[in-house]
Amino acid sequence: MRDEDCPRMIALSALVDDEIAAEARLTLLAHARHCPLCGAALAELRALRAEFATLPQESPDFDLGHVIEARLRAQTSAGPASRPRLRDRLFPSGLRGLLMPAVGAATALALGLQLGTLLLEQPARSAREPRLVAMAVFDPIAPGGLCPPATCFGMETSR
Amino acid sequence: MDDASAADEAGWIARAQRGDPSAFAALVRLHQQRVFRFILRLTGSREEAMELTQDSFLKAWQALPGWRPRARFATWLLQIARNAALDTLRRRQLVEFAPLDDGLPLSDPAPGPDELWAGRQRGVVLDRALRRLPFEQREVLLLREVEELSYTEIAALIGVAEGTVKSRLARARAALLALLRHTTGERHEG
Repeated sequence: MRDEDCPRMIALSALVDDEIAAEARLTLLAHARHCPLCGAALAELRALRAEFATLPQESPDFDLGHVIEARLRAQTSAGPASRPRLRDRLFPSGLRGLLMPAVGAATALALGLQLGTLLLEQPARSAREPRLVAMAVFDPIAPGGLCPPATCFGMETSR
Repeated sequence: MDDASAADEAGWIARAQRGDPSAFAALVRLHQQRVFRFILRLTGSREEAMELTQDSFLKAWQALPGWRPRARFATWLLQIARNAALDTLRRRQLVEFAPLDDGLPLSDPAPGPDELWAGRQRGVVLDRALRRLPFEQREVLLLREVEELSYTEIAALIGVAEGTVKSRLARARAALLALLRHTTGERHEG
Protein backbone atom coordinates (compact mmCIF):
# COMPACT_ATOMS: atom_id res chain seq x y z
CA MET A 1 0.00 0.00 0.00
CA ARG A 2 1.33 3.43 -0.93
CA ASP A 3 1.64 6.14 1.73
CA GLU A 4 -1.07 8.28 0.15
CA ASP A 5 -3.56 5.36 0.23
CA CYS A 6 -2.99 4.71 3.94
CA PRO A 7 -6.25 5.28 5.84
CA ARG A 8 -4.27 7.22 8.44
CA MET A 9 -2.96 9.60 5.76
CA ILE A 10 -6.50 10.20 4.48
CA ALA A 11 -7.70 10.88 8.01
CA LEU A 12 -4.78 13.23 8.75
CA SER A 13 -5.43 15.12 5.52
CA ALA A 14 -9.09 15.53 6.48
CA LEU A 15 -8.00 16.61 9.96
CA VAL A 16 -5.90 19.43 8.48
CA ASP A 17 -8.95 20.49 6.47
CA ASP A 18 -11.17 20.37 9.55
CA GLU A 19 -13.44 17.98 7.65
CA ILE A 20 -13.56 15.27 10.28
CA ALA A 21 -16.08 14.55 13.06
CA ALA A 22 -15.26 16.08 16.44
CA GLU A 23 -14.81 12.74 18.22
CA ALA A 24 -12.60 11.28 15.50
CA ARG A 25 -10.58 14.48 15.53
CA LEU A 26 -9.80 14.16 19.24
CA THR A 27 -8.87 10.50 18.87
CA LEU A 28 -6.58 11.19 15.94
CA LEU A 29 -4.87 14.13 17.63
CA ALA A 30 -4.25 12.03 20.73
CA HIS A 31 -2.76 9.29 18.54
CA ALA A 32 -0.55 11.74 16.63
CA ARG A 33 0.92 13.03 19.91
CA HIS A 34 2.30 9.58 20.71
CA CYS A 35 2.97 8.15 17.24
CA PRO A 36 6.15 9.58 15.68
CA LEU A 37 5.09 8.64 12.14
CA CYS A 38 1.64 10.21 12.35
CA GLY A 39 2.99 13.19 14.30
CA ALA A 40 5.58 13.89 11.60
CA ALA A 41 3.02 13.40 8.81
CA LEU A 42 0.60 15.82 10.50
CA ALA A 43 3.37 18.43 10.89
CA GLU A 44 4.24 18.08 7.19
CA LEU A 45 0.63 18.49 6.12
CA ARG A 46 0.22 21.61 8.25
CA ALA A 47 3.44 23.10 6.89
CA LEU A 48 2.33 22.36 3.35
CA ARG A 49 -0.93 24.19 3.98
CA ALA A 50 1.02 27.26 5.11
CA GLU A 51 3.17 27.10 1.98
CA PHE A 52 0.18 27.79 -0.24
CA ALA A 53 0.15 31.37 1.04
CA THR A 54 3.52 31.89 -0.69
CA LEU A 55 2.23 31.04 -4.19
CA PRO A 56 2.90 33.84 -6.72
CA GLN A 57 -0.07 36.21 -6.93
CA GLU A 58 -0.44 36.76 -10.66
CA SER A 59 -3.04 39.17 -12.01
CA PRO A 60 -4.51 39.91 -15.43
CA ASP A 61 -2.82 42.89 -17.11
CA PHE A 62 -5.95 44.90 -17.75
CA ASP A 63 -9.51 45.58 -16.59
CA LEU A 64 -11.35 42.55 -17.90
CA GLY A 65 -14.68 44.03 -16.80
CA HIS A 66 -14.24 46.85 -19.31
CA VAL A 67 -13.37 44.43 -22.13
CA ILE A 68 -16.31 42.13 -21.39
CA GLU A 69 -18.75 45.03 -21.10
CA ALA A 70 -17.58 46.44 -24.47
CA ARG A 71 -18.03 43.04 -26.12
CA LEU A 72 -21.51 42.60 -24.65
CA ARG A 73 -22.58 46.10 -25.76
CA ALA A 74 -21.18 45.44 -29.26
CA GLN A 75 -23.24 42.25 -29.46
CA THR A 76 -26.33 44.14 -28.36
CA SER A 77 -25.87 46.99 -30.84
CA ALA A 78 -25.27 44.50 -33.68
CA GLY A 79 -28.98 43.67 -33.45
CA PRO A 80 -31.03 41.63 -31.10
CA ALA A 81 -31.12 37.99 -32.05
CA SER A 82 -34.75 37.82 -31.07
CA ARG A 83 -35.97 40.08 -33.90
CA PRO A 84 -38.07 37.90 -36.26
CA ARG A 85 -36.66 37.42 -39.74
CA LEU A 86 -38.73 37.75 -42.92
CA ARG A 87 -38.77 33.98 -43.44
CA ASP A 88 -40.13 33.51 -39.93
CA ARG A 89 -42.84 36.08 -40.49
CA LEU A 90 -43.93 34.60 -43.86
CA PHE A 91 -43.81 30.99 -42.73
CA PRO A 92 -44.48 30.35 -39.08
CA SER A 93 -42.38 27.58 -37.60
CA GLY A 94 -45.33 25.19 -37.48
CA LEU A 95 -45.85 25.33 -41.23
CA ARG A 96 -42.15 25.42 -42.13
CA GLY A 97 -41.68 21.75 -41.36
CA LEU A 98 -44.43 20.69 -43.77
CA LEU A 99 -43.78 23.28 -46.45
CA MET A 100 -40.30 22.24 -47.54
CA PRO A 101 -41.08 18.52 -48.17
CA ALA A 102 -44.27 19.48 -50.04
CA VAL A 103 -42.39 21.89 -52.34
CA GLY A 104 -39.71 19.25 -52.98
CA ALA A 105 -42.27 16.57 -53.86
CA ALA A 106 -44.18 18.90 -56.20
CA THR A 107 -40.97 19.88 -58.03
CA ALA A 108 -39.93 16.25 -58.48
CA LEU A 109 -43.37 15.33 -59.86
CA ALA A 110 -43.41 18.23 -62.32
CA LEU A 111 -39.94 17.38 -63.64
CA GLY A 112 -40.90 13.72 -64.06
CA LEU A 113 -44.02 14.60 -66.06
CA GLN A 114 -42.10 16.97 -68.32
CA LEU A 115 -39.40 14.41 -69.11
CA GLY A 116 -42.01 11.75 -69.82
CA THR A 117 -43.81 14.05 -72.24
CA LEU A 118 -40.57 14.76 -74.12
CA LEU A 119 -39.92 11.03 -74.61
CA LEU A 120 -43.38 10.45 -76.02
CA GLU A 121 -43.15 13.39 -78.46
CA GLN A 122 -39.69 12.55 -79.91
CA PRO A 123 -40.70 10.06 -82.76
CA ALA A 124 -43.16 12.57 -84.22
CA ARG A 125 -40.58 15.33 -84.34
CA SER A 126 -37.80 13.34 -86.14
CA ALA A 127 -38.62 13.08 -89.90
CA ARG A 128 -35.71 10.85 -90.90
CA GLU A 129 -34.87 7.38 -89.66
CA PRO A 130 -31.55 7.25 -87.86
CA ARG A 131 -28.77 5.96 -90.06
CA LEU A 132 -26.85 3.13 -88.51
CA VAL A 133 -23.16 3.73 -88.54
CA ALA A 134 -22.44 -0.01 -88.60
CA MET A 135 -23.85 -0.26 -92.16
CA ALA A 136 -20.87 1.77 -93.39
CA VAL A 137 -18.90 -1.51 -93.50
CA PHE A 138 -20.59 -2.29 -96.83
CA ASP A 139 -19.81 1.10 -98.43
CA PRO A 140 -17.23 1.29 -101.26
CA ILE A 141 -14.85 3.09 -98.98
CA ALA A 142 -14.48 1.40 -95.66
CA PRO A 143 -14.81 3.55 -92.59
CA GLY A 144 -11.49 5.35 -92.20
CA GLY A 145 -10.48 4.77 -95.84
CA LEU A 146 -8.54 7.60 -97.54
CA CYS A 147 -8.94 7.02 -101.30
CA PRO A 148 -11.80 6.35 -103.68
CA PRO A 149 -11.86 2.85 -105.29
CA ALA A 150 -10.47 3.95 -108.71
CA THR A 151 -7.19 5.30 -107.40
CA CYS A 152 -6.70 2.85 -104.61
CA PHE A 153 -3.44 0.96 -104.97
CA GLY A 154 -4.81 -2.33 -103.82
CA MET A 155 -7.80 -2.18 -106.16
CA GLU A 156 -5.59 -1.43 -109.22
CA THR A 157 -3.29 -4.37 -108.66
CA SER A 158 -6.15 -6.75 -108.22
CA ARG A 159 -7.55 -5.85 -111.64
CA MET B 1 -16.60 38.40 1.33
CA ASP B 2 -18.29 40.62 3.91
CA ASP B 3 -22.04 41.27 4.12
CA ALA B 4 -21.88 44.56 2.18
CA SER B 5 -19.93 42.98 -0.65
CA ALA B 6 -22.31 40.02 -0.68
CA ALA B 7 -25.26 42.41 -0.96
CA ASP B 8 -23.53 44.29 -3.79
CA GLU B 9 -22.84 41.02 -5.54
CA ALA B 10 -26.45 39.86 -5.19
CA GLY B 11 -27.64 43.18 -6.67
CA TRP B 12 -25.23 42.96 -9.59
CA ILE B 13 -26.28 39.36 -10.26
CA ALA B 14 -29.96 40.31 -10.33
CA ARG B 15 -29.31 43.23 -12.71
CA ALA B 16 -27.02 41.15 -14.92
CA GLN B 17 -29.67 38.44 -15.11
CA ARG B 18 -32.01 41.09 -16.54
CA GLY B 19 -29.40 41.84 -19.23
CA ASP B 20 -27.44 44.76 -17.74
CA PRO B 21 -23.84 44.60 -19.12
CA SER B 22 -22.47 47.17 -16.64
CA ALA B 23 -23.69 45.10 -13.69
CA PHE B 24 -22.05 42.05 -15.20
CA ALA B 25 -18.84 44.06 -15.69
CA ALA B 26 -18.88 44.80 -11.95
CA LEU B 27 -19.14 41.06 -11.28
CA VAL B 28 -16.24 40.43 -13.64
CA ARG B 29 -14.09 42.98 -11.78
CA LEU B 30 -14.98 41.34 -8.48
CA HIS B 31 -13.99 37.85 -9.59
CA GLN B 32 -11.52 38.24 -12.47
CA GLN B 33 -8.39 37.84 -10.36
CA ARG B 34 -9.62 34.69 -8.69
CA VAL B 35 -10.76 33.07 -11.94
CA PHE B 36 -7.60 34.12 -13.77
CA ARG B 37 -5.27 32.70 -11.11
CA PHE B 38 -7.20 29.46 -10.90
CA ILE B 39 -7.01 28.94 -14.66
CA LEU B 40 -3.36 30.01 -14.78
CA ARG B 41 -2.43 27.45 -12.14
CA LEU B 42 -4.36 24.75 -13.97
CA THR B 43 -3.00 25.48 -17.45
CA GLY B 44 0.40 27.00 -16.68
CA SER B 45 0.09 29.45 -19.57
CA ARG B 46 -0.57 33.15 -19.01
CA GLU B 47 -1.86 33.76 -22.55
CA GLU B 48 -4.23 30.82 -22.38
CA ALA B 49 -5.34 31.88 -18.93
CA MET B 50 -6.24 35.36 -20.22
CA GLU B 51 -8.21 33.92 -23.11
CA LEU B 52 -9.94 31.28 -21.02
CA THR B 53 -10.84 33.81 -18.34
CA GLN B 54 -12.62 35.95 -20.93
CA ASP B 55 -14.32 32.89 -22.42
CA SER B 56 -15.43 31.75 -18.97
CA PHE B 57 -17.06 35.10 -18.20
CA LEU B 58 -18.78 35.19 -21.58
CA LYS B 59 -20.13 31.68 -20.97
CA ALA B 60 -21.26 32.80 -17.53
CA TRP B 61 -23.11 35.75 -19.12
CA GLN B 62 -24.91 33.40 -21.50
CA ALA B 63 -25.84 30.98 -18.73
CA LEU B 64 -26.67 33.66 -16.18
CA PRO B 65 -30.43 33.90 -16.85
CA GLY B 66 -30.76 30.26 -15.75
CA TRP B 67 -28.46 30.55 -12.73
CA ARG B 68 -30.07 29.93 -9.34
CA PRO B 69 -28.28 30.63 -6.05
CA ARG B 70 -27.95 26.98 -5.03
CA ALA B 71 -24.18 27.48 -4.81
CA ARG B 72 -22.03 30.56 -4.34
CA PHE B 73 -21.61 32.64 -7.49
CA ALA B 74 -17.81 32.37 -7.21
CA THR B 75 -18.00 28.59 -7.02
CA TRP B 76 -20.18 28.53 -10.12
CA LEU B 77 -17.66 30.72 -11.95
CA LEU B 78 -14.83 28.41 -10.89
CA GLN B 79 -16.77 25.45 -12.25
CA ILE B 80 -17.10 27.16 -15.65
CA ALA B 81 -13.41 28.08 -15.54
CA ARG B 82 -12.40 24.57 -14.55
CA ASN B 83 -14.34 23.03 -17.44
CA ALA B 84 -12.82 25.51 -19.89
CA ALA B 85 -9.31 24.74 -18.63
CA LEU B 86 -9.93 21.00 -18.74
CA ASP B 87 -11.13 21.22 -22.36
CA THR B 88 -8.00 23.13 -23.31
CA LEU B 89 -5.71 20.69 -21.52
CA ARG B 90 -7.46 17.76 -23.18
CA ARG B 91 -6.83 19.37 -26.54
CA ARG B 92 -3.19 19.80 -25.57
CA GLN B 93 -3.17 16.20 -24.31
CA LEU B 94 -1.40 17.24 -21.14
CA VAL B 95 -3.83 15.74 -18.68
CA GLU B 96 -1.89 12.52 -18.25
CA PHE B 97 0.30 11.99 -15.23
CA ALA B 98 3.83 13.32 -15.47
CA PRO B 99 6.28 10.83 -13.89
CA LEU B 100 8.18 12.08 -10.86
CA ASP B 101 11.61 11.07 -12.11
CA ASP B 102 11.64 12.30 -15.67
CA GLY B 103 14.89 14.17 -15.14
CA LEU B 104 13.41 17.66 -15.50
CA PRO B 105 14.47 20.06 -12.74
CA LEU B 106 11.68 21.60 -10.73
CA SER B 107 13.73 24.56 -9.71
CA ASP B 108 16.36 26.84 -11.22
CA PRO B 109 19.80 25.33 -10.82
CA ALA B 110 21.26 28.56 -9.44
CA PRO B 111 19.67 28.95 -6.00
CA GLY B 112 20.73 26.54 -3.29
CA PRO B 113 18.40 24.55 -1.02
CA ASP B 114 18.47 27.21 1.68
CA GLU B 115 17.36 29.94 -0.68
CA LEU B 116 14.65 27.81 -2.27
CA TRP B 117 12.61 27.82 0.89
CA ALA B 118 13.07 31.52 1.50
CA GLY B 119 10.55 34.14 0.57
CA ARG B 120 9.25 34.18 -2.96
CA GLN B 121 11.31 31.23 -4.09
CA ARG B 122 9.26 28.94 -1.89
CA GLY B 123 6.14 29.95 -3.75
CA VAL B 124 7.83 29.48 -7.10
CA VAL B 125 8.99 26.00 -6.16
CA LEU B 126 5.53 25.09 -4.89
CA ASP B 127 3.99 26.45 -8.07
CA ARG B 128 6.28 24.33 -10.22
CA ALA B 129 5.64 21.25 -8.13
CA LEU B 130 1.89 21.80 -8.43
CA ARG B 131 2.15 21.90 -12.20
CA ARG B 132 3.78 18.48 -12.13
CA LEU B 133 0.79 16.90 -10.45
CA PRO B 134 -1.93 15.19 -12.49
CA PHE B 135 -4.81 17.54 -13.30
CA GLU B 136 -7.26 15.82 -10.95
CA GLN B 137 -4.91 16.19 -7.97
CA ARG B 138 -3.90 19.74 -8.87
CA GLU B 139 -7.48 20.95 -9.12
CA VAL B 140 -8.59 19.55 -5.75
CA LEU B 141 -5.57 21.04 -4.03
CA LEU B 142 -6.17 24.47 -5.57
CA LEU B 143 -9.87 24.37 -4.79
CA ARG B 144 -9.17 23.43 -1.18
CA GLU B 145 -5.99 25.32 -0.30
CA VAL B 146 -6.35 28.45 -2.43
CA GLU B 147 -10.08 28.82 -3.01
CA GLU B 148 -10.87 27.44 0.45
CA LEU B 149 -13.89 25.46 -0.71
CA SER B 150 -15.40 22.79 1.51
CA TYR B 151 -15.37 19.10 0.53
CA THR B 152 -19.06 19.41 -0.32
CA GLU B 153 -18.44 22.36 -2.64
CA ILE B 154 -15.47 20.67 -4.32
CA ALA B 155 -17.47 17.48 -4.83
CA ALA B 156 -20.30 19.42 -6.47
CA LEU B 157 -17.91 21.47 -8.59
CA ILE B 158 -15.94 18.57 -10.08
CA GLY B 159 -18.82 16.10 -10.04
CA VAL B 160 -17.53 13.36 -7.69
CA ALA B 161 -18.51 12.02 -4.26
CA GLU B 162 -17.22 13.72 -1.10
CA GLY B 163 -15.32 10.56 -0.18
CA THR B 164 -13.47 10.79 -3.49
CA VAL B 165 -12.51 14.39 -2.73
CA LYS B 166 -11.20 13.32 0.67
CA SER B 167 -9.02 10.48 -0.66
CA ARG B 168 -7.94 12.48 -3.73
CA LEU B 169 -6.77 15.33 -1.52
CA ALA B 170 -4.75 12.95 0.64
CA ARG B 171 -3.12 11.45 -2.47
CA ALA B 172 -2.46 14.91 -3.91
CA ARG B 173 -0.80 16.11 -0.70
CA ALA B 174 1.35 13.00 -0.46
CA ALA B 175 2.42 13.38 -4.10
CA LEU B 176 3.15 17.09 -3.64
CA LEU B 177 5.22 16.45 -0.53
CA ALA B 178 7.17 13.77 -2.39
CA LEU B 179 7.85 16.23 -5.23
CA LEU B 180 9.00 18.92 -2.82
CA ARG B 181 11.31 16.50 -1.01
CA HIS B 182 12.66 15.45 -4.39
CA THR B 183 13.34 19.09 -5.25
CA THR B 184 14.96 20.24 -2.07
CA GLY B 185 16.55 16.99 -1.05
CA GLU B 186 15.36 17.52 2.46
CA ARG B 187 12.44 16.66 4.62
CA HIS B 188 9.76 19.32 4.54
CA GLU B 189 8.52 20.07 7.97
CA GLY B 190 7.20 23.27 9.41
